[in-house]
Amino acid sequence: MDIEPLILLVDSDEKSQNTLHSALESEGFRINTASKGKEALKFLRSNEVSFMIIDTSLKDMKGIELIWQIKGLDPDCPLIVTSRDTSGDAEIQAREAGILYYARKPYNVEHILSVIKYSLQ
Amino acid sequence: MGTYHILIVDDEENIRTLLQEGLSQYHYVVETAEDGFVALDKVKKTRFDIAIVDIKMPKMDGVEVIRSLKEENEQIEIIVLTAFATVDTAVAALKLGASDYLTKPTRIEEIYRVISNILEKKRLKEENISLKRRLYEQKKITQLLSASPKMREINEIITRVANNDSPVFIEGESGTGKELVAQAIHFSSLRSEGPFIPINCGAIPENLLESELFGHKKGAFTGAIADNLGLFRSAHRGTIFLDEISEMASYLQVKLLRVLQEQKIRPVGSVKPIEIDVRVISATNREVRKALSQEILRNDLYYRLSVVHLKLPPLRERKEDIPLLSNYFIKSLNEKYKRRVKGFSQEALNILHSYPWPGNVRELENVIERAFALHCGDLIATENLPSTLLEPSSPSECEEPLSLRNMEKELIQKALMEAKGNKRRAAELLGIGRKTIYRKIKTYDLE
Repeated sequence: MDIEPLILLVDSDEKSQNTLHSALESEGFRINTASKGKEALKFLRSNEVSFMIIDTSLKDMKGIELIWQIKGLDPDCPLIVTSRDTSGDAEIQAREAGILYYARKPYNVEHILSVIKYSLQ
Repeated sequence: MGTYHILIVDDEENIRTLLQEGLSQYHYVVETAEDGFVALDKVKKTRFDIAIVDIKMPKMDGVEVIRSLKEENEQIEIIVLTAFATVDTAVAALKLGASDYLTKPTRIEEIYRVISNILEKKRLKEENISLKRRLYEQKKITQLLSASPKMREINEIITRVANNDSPVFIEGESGTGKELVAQAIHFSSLRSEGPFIPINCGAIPENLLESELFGHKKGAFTGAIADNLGLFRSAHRGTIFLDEISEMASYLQVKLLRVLQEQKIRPVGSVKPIEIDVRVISATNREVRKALSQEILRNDLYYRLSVVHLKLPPLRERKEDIPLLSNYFIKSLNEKYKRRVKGFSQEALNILHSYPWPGNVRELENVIERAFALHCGDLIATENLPSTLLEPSSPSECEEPLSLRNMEKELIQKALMEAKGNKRRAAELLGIGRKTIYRKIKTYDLE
């Protein structure tokens, strides 16, 4: 048996973090959460993560900055990006970084789950 | 540089008028709102760069206004206006992400100074992000460097096709650098200022791929809770890279063909078509001729996409590039880890040269990174290379199983130590998959 994949969830909004957390947990994933970019980077340097879900609105850095830093550290780790931005800028910037999936808030948790499960198949 | 949009939120009419008139002379587009609700409405419609918010307002408190504006547009910069500069209100505002605050009454020149500071900082930050991005891309693109005539030809074609908008189709095995070629075309084209948007068509579930590509309207299907731009609109005035296009369902291939013919997309759930201005580069790691005859890839779509067809040679067909690429990877690793590895022993080079590299350049890169991590000294020697390279032609079981097992166990232990216990990193060093390393760790009880 393989160890269950570890997902890093980065979101400063507790409510949406909780929703995703419980949905992912019920699918049997291991989850680690961070509310700040620096926290996420620190975790990444010493842990092996199969998936990352990153919200663009973080307290200590712009989501897009975090995405590019992660790309530098681990270019192949699949990223799902969520955002409350309605201007479209966040979506374009995130997609440019080469992410797996983008979901604007309020998103459908089922979509995010299906993308993760499909990609781990 | 476009015009900046500024929103003034203040319940006092004379202040709104004063600021609007004053700031308009600096060529900003200025709008006003008398309370938080009107402000929120306006922010939903227009992309404001800056909002100037009075902290004390009757209907919705300034702090609450800032929070909801930021929630609607996280990139908006906020300047707080306050009658009494108490430390508490200023701190509360800054905590919510306001960039600065001003005490009433204030002079227009003072506001202008604060605004231009904020805009300058914003511009620098954006420039910095895009610079980082370009550096990252360019560094990777250097990997296309080549001594082989086949790759030189491809480099020439890249330069030639860069400045027209022809669709390019790239065929090549995994690890041959298809995305790098697509990036090279984009970044040397007239569209280089625009976005480069990649998508792996095989990595998104079929039921979501259509809205990923063309976008959807809120409510278009069960679960479409918010609008989604989609990749084609995100790539406006830039390039879209459709990787693994042959994995796309046939009905979507038909839709894609129509989009390319009409140069218009219709987001799911929308009746209004939207014009697009996007260059399309697509790729597959399947053999195109086979994919066409098996009807995995539709003929009509393929002909539309392959005005220029590039076939990337596997590494085994351009062995003259192995030393060049290997030295390039060593150089980058030296820079990254501040070491001074000089290169490879002659014997190690010979091994690199004779191995068939089924995983192509990516596999070579992984092997070198692993060897770099495991060795200490000037030159990387044969014993630093993975055992798979040493017996390339005989993957059979005729070797003594026990000694191979021991060697494998030892190698995994070494890699885990080098990666400080990070299994994924260790897997990369060894050039094996994540699942494999998990399994092996269990088998050899290395937890």
